[in-house]
Amino acid sequence: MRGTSTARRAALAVRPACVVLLVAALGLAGCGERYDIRTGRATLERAMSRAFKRNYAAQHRMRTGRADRLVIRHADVRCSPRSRQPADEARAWPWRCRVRWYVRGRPEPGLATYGVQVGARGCFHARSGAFPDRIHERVLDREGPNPLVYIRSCP
Amino acid sequence: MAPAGQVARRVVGVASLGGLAVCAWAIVTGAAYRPTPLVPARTGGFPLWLRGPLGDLGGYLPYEDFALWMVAMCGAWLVALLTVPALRARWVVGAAVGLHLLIALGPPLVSADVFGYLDWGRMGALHGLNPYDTDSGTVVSDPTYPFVRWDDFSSPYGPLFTLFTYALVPLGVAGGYLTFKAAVVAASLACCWLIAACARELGRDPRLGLALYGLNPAVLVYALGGAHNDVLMMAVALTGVWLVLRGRARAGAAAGSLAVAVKASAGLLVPFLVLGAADRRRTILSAAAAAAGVVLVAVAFFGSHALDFVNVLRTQQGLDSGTSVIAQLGAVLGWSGNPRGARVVASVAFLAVLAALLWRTWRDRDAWLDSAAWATAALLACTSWLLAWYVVWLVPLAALGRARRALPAVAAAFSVFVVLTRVVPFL
Repeated sequence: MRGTSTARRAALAVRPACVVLLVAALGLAGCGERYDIRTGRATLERAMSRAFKRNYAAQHRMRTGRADRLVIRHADVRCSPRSRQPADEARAWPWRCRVRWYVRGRPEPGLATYGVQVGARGCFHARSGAFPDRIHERVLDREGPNPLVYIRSCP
Repeated sequence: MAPAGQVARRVVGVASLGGLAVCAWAIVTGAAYRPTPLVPARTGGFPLWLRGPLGDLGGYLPYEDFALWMVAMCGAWLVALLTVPALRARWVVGAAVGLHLLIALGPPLVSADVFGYLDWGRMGALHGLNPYDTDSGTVVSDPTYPFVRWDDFSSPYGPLFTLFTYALVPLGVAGGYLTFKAAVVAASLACCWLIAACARELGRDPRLGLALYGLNPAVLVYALGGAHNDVLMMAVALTGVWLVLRGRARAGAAAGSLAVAVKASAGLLVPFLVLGAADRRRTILSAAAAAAGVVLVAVAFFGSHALDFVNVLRTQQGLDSGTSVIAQLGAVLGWSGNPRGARVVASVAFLAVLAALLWRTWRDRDAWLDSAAWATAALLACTSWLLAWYVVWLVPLAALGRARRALPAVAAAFSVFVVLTRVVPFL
């Protein structure tokens, strides 16, 4: 009898303890490192290079109808901030990125400059006037927006 | 059992449920906080509809930390499985439902396949292209394109599933994604209910099956988190299992055929559904009639190319994943990847096991569910293309087989295997 009542008391005590532990653990689990800085030069350059290569491949596919993820051999990106990071999270942080890219099988590089807007979570929108706004999309046989004019991506 | 021992097991069990919640919370809020490789669809941006509402509650989660949380989650799950007889059924149900809802609020985890599904739907419904004859990512100007990660194969999914994705097109990309994800969560909760209902039909305690599926980290993070259509397929297939167990074998076999029309992988279950029926001849006719209906719909909407989806298993055996059992055995036996010889041996072994299990079920009807589970385990062990979310093919069947210890143990081991092979390299 004593064993049973001890067990019951233990069970009753355990329930609130479990709730407290769970709440504490959930709080702990949500306390990973948080960053005030949206992005850094190296992070943005790497992400922009990857996004440019992807969008170049998209443009290639749009024109030719053929998928070739490796159409760009190398895209070298240099970025610099145009102002300090805004305190207001709702405002974009403007950067400028210069892209020098090499297409497979062609030695001479292509060059373009993008105005880049970095959002609160490090994702960005990039726009360039170096390419025609619209190009022919072979599979639909009609004009469509050029993927190299406006790039949206994340690190 | 002494009451004090029972209390101790219950305390450990409740703590393991809490541990699962903590791990899932850390993963979901971390994945939603900042874009990382944990969300491959971030290539198209990280809008609120994609990342979900929990981003401000988490912290930065690099892949190494995700790997640690997954290992911890597996540990908590194994403890929950061992202590589940001491837990109240409503706690297990509450934990499963809570974890499902938590994962549902997060971004698409570890895969962008869901955008491939939407892309094929839009191709067909908006651009007049046949998803069975057109590679994914073909329409570059479509707004799904930035989120799509595949670009070199046509749809391997069943016509019923493809028609479902057509129905999502009017909702746009964000609406289609959110609706699809809600459908997958509903299907997964339906799987939980069906596992419990089938267990009751078999006179079993439903808690183990519920814990095996509903609290399973591989199911939650990879299948549900990635919003994979395998969950939809299993919900239809399990409906077939439930109907057969309730003595409605013809309707069950028809449901099996419909599951194949979602994804061909369900085809492995259908012969066992048929052989387990009391009246096999009528059940075969019912399955065949449902299959004929599916073929008619498929050909009417998509032409003869639509039937290529049944080749998916053969096609997948031609693919190469470093996380397959074959590839992992190579670390011990001295090969790399999935060499041709090993694939051939594995394919022959699988066919031999399948034939033996069909023969066993032919002779002993009551072994059908057990045999279906072993056949699925054999398929997953022998395929050279093993993805983490494929565990949803096995876990529900393993929870219901006659081998009450061996099959759940195999399903648990397989689930831990698919998680560890993906995360251990990052630890």
